[in-house]
Amino acid sequence: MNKRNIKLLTGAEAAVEALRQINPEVMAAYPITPQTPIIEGYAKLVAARKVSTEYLRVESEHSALAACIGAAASGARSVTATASQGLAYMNELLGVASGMRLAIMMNVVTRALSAPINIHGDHSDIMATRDLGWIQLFSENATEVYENNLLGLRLAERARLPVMVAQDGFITSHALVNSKILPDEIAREFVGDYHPDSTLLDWQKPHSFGAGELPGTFFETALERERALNDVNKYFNEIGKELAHYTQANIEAVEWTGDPNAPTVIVSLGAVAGLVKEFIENNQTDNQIAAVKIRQYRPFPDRQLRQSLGKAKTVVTIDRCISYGARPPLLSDICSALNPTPIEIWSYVAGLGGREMKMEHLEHIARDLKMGAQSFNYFQ
Amino acid sequence: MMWQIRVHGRAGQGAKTLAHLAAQTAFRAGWQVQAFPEYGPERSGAPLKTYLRISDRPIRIIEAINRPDTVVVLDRTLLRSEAVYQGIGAKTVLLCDCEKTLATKQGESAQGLNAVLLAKNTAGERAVSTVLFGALCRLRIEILRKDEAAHVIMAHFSNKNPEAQIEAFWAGYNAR
Repeated sequence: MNKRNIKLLTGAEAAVEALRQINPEVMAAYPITPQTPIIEGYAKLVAARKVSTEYLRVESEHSALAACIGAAASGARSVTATASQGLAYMNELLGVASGMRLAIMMNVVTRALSAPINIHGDHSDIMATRDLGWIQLFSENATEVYENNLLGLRLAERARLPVMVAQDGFITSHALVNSKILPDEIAREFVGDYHPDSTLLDWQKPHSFGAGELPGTFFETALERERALNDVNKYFNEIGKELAHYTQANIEAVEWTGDPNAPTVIVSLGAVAGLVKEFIENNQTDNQIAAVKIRQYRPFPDRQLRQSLGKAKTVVTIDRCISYGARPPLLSDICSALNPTPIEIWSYVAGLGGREMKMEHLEHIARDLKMGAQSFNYFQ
Repeated sequence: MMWQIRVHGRAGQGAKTLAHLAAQTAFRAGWQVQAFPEYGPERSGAPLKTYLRISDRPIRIIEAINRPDTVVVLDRTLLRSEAVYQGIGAKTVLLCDCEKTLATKQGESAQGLNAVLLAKNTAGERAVSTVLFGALCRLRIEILRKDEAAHVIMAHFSNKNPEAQIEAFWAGYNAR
């Protein structure tokens, strides 16, 4: 039952298409490159009355998230979108949204952080927010942006936690590609209505939201949030399968490409993962290299990764981010997921501030692997 | 099969529009496409590039087009720019707004057409990109079909005198 329509869309347009079908009650946003085509596209739908969303054009990203927090606490399906400095500016409220257990959905069009100022893509912005209790889904292409919006909303509402749906700035957000979209009625059936258990405006069952907690209970509440986030591993399988039934394509938190017995596995996120898949499937790697794409980055799928990477001799990570003064995020996460391990783990960093990521970089990695030594760390 | 097209123009000349028209045209005939501009500081008149890949299977590479099969140049002053010739090989077709004599100076595979004049005679000077879109379609008629192209132009310029744009398209298509 392959009911998907093929449309020519950019990643940003794919997000708009999903949001149009979801028709959330509230969207609050402030424009920032390269997120602008999402909120501009959605504003046009609001103006044309194609959706019934209350669109709040607020004065900053901090206010955008504050508005979403208020709206979500009141029981409204609430969404926003941002990038780079905008996400950094929201930082103070990110933990508030997850701590208050609000199912807000945010599209993040990943971009470098200042300074120097740079409008182009990398993962510095989203990586700086990875441990604040949000679900994080990375998208390889526009089709996955679309799917992750539908899936992300369901995961968020099931876990009562906010979700970020990431796409690579420009590479995905501004490139026009063949994209697979579900018909409106199927998407709406999948998403369903939203009836939160408790809301700020429920006079019959009054609740406190955002109450203060002292040392006597704070620890327990923090652990509740941690457990709720880890439960998303389970929900992803369940709800991912449900979505895959409609899309007729696998939707997996951890996706494997290539020979199941390959001694080397390259692990990556987002658009780079597409490049790696292309390399594995269309180059003569003699079944020596396979690829793992992490679609669900938070909660980090430790157990699944231990299973899929367990037999490898070498694991190679590609990050689009530097953790200044420490190892890059994906590398750190992989090391801690596999620990203790005899597997050799190599790390490369690519695509900072929009630097091109080329097939020849992967050929270079393959040469390094043959020689048994890393000749460089950065795809400069 | 992958056809890689690089379009050079100046901001405001329609390089992005040309790539999108071609992308839509190929898409309508069932091809996989990928079209993306090279982003930089936005200044009217500054040189810019847009990229278009057309393939019979999904496109997953994300790099710029560094070895183009076809280079389209919207502005003849850019023929002095090194960027236009970056990565071109013996088989690369250079399609430019210039007279045939000037085109032959750029190499054997260069095809010049006086796109500005053809545009002036049809939809107006600003339709250079539509003229060159016509010429581009003529290069690979099995991929960029003229009937699909006409449909795409009518939809894209729906409230901006599309008939004149169609004329500009045919002027480019029949220029040789």
